[in-house]
Amino acid sequence: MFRLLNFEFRKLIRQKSFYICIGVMLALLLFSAYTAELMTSESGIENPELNGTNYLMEAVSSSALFSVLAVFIPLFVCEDYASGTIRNVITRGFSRFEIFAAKLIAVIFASVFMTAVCLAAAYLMGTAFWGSGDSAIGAEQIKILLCQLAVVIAYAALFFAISSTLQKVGGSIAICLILPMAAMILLSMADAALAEHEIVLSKYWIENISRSVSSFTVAAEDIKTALIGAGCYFASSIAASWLLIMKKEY
Amino acid sequence: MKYVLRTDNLTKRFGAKCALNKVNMQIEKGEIYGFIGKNGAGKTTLMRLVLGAAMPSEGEIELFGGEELSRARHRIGALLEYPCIYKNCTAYENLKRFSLLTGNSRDDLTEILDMVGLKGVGKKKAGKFSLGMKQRLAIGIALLGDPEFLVLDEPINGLDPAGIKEIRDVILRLNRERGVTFLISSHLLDELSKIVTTYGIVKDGVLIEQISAAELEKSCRHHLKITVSDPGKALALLSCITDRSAIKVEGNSLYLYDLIDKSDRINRLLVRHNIMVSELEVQTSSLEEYFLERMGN
Repeated sequence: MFRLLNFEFRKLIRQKSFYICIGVMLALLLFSAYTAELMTSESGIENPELNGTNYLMEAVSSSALFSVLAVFIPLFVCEDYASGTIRNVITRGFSRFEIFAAKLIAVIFASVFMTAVCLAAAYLMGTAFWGSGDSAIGAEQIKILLCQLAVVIAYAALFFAISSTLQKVGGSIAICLILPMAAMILLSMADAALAEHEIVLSKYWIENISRSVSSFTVAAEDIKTALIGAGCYFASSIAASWLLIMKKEY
Repeated sequence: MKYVLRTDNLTKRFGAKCALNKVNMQIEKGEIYGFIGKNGAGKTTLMRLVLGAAMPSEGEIELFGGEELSRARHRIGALLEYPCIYKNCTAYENLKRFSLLTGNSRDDLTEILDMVGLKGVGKKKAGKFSLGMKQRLAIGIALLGDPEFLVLDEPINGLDPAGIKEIRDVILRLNRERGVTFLISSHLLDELSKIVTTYGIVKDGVLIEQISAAELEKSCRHHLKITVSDPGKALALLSCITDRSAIKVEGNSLYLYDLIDKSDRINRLLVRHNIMVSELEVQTSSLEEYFLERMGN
């Protein structure tokens, strides 16, 4: 397993798309901050909500992080399947589960790294444009950020599951990009249909879970719901994709 | 441990189609086993089963005398069907990545690049390699980890004559110096015949014959083809001077597997008994002819 992890991490650090995706994410984050600054200065009304701390707390859900992960994870996961190099690994006696787990660990690491870069960059950019803000980051905010990280990992696991099941780069990227939009539309339609029963399904969609924990203060109940939701998404995505590919032949 | 690979009634079905049917194959340690069969006969399927890339429908695989399969596969190197390489990486980076799975050192990688003739390719991306170079790189990857058993599916596909010779020399060297056992499939039968010690012939998923190179050579031995006016009389005459079982009759032609160096004497004997000889020729059946005959063509 250690050798497989070594192999996956070498691929990760040597993968150009990893750095390109991070670059794109940072550029979009900067563009977003710059646009907000322009709008504020043009309107002439000062927005006290705009500061480094708030920009940090909202960075995960409002930045392009999920879109970037939707492109990067299929590129990374499907490479071995698309090029056939997975055969070189399987024929060396590594089990399918070891290979699956090593890829998943590498994807989680990459997602955590990208999230950390996103958060650090958001704080720096926000502070550069509007100052750090009056409220200091405390234990409560660290807890919220860790909760956001758990949601990112769950989202990454969903993309990982799609990629390792389809094993085709193009198809996986397309589905990972379209899925959030399609899910939101379908769930909104379901909400409308179920309105009289007071059932709101869309609040359980992972993107909305992420939004519910992206502010300076979040209710403990929401954090608990987000953590349970993230755990459910993670476990069901991984279990489903493993069951689908465990006997796949190459 | 006598056998590196043994299969017992190995069967693989894809839906209703039986790609491999109760194959019992044995490969002894140190052998170079040539696996021959038409396209779709089941050669690659058997290799995939042996290597764990596919699961058998029935039957057993025994590697290295019964070692646990996933552990045993760490001792195997393989090239399956086409070169599986990272196209946007250099040859060295490809070897480096896969060496993390096998634990080879930097020196080993340089030695392997040299061995497969890719030492001078520098920073050229593998995607820009010719098919032959990709094939060499794939063989290099298979050589990582000092495998004791190499499974090579069409290893000389796309190689030029010089490349074929280089790979042949590498195979023979590894076999002689390190005692590496090989399972090789190829359609280039003449090339295969230069290295193989045992042949396995597969037809429609059934292993129809396992034959050693020495036995095959006997089967493909030289013979004398004599076309005569009266084959019955000629057969009776020739049966007096050699064993009847060494003579085969086909139409007006007789095939003599003995007395090949006595063609002048035979000619004189037949003519003396008023048998007209219209053709007298020493012939050899090749591995290809033998193979085609076994395939039923």
